[in-house]
Amino acid sequence: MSVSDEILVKKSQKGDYLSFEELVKRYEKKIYSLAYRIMGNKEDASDVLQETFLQAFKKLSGFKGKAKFSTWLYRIAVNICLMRKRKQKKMETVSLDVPILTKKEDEIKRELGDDWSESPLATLENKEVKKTLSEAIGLLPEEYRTVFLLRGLNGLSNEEVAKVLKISLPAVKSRLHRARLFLRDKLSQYFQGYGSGG
Amino acid sequence: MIDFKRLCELLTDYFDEELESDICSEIDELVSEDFGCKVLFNTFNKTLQLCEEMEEEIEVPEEVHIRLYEFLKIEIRREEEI
Repeated sequence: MSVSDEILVKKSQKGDYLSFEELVKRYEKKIYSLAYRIMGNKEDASDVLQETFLQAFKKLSGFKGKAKFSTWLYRIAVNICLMRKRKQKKMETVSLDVPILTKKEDEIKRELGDDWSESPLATLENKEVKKTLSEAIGLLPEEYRTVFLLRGLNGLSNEEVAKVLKISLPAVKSRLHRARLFLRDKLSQYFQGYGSGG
Repeated sequence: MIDFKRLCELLTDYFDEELESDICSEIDELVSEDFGCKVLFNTFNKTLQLCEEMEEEIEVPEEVHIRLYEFLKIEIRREEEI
């Protein structure tokens, strides 16, 4: 049986570097994946990864264990990502892709079009579908994308996402729902005309 | 009474299994009877499935992994010296 995060954190707080290294090993992939999806490239994701664990080490003595270690760590990583994003935005003179998420539930029209869900093309083995979905995730506004990624990629519950982002539970649910509707909409646009038979 | 608009609002709760069973039954009935609702329901569900497949963790490249450990060793030693 593996040692719990709590024990590793306590040992790390007492200066046991190997315990901290074990925590790094445990969360390295999750933090990198999250950072990669938010930042969109390997270089930034790599920097975020380093900075996250360095900050975690520096702040670990002040970690009281009121939240789960993973929640605390994700919060550090998300904050670093968002700060870097803000800096990058300031440096951009013109934003070429302003993400828009305007469609509300009541604006979604009744669809009498194709039910592409049964299409043999509706698989990630279809590179165009994968690209369409990946691009659509990239188009989500940051606050929606972060919720979407933490829920999906990092497998957090709505409550945990609310803690990581310090937002209310209804806000998490609302952002997640709108993100999902947005992605469905983008996929529907892609499949328009294909028909359920492919 | 659930209609198309209400269905739109409830889809995430439905698939996250956060709805009461009587509401779920009402949705199931609506979807079986109304083609537009069925399309929305099925395509939303398929979107969630595709997203789930997309959400696989990304492997940390070997050079990034090595750089991380080297970086942390140096920085932590520096911290401890302060």
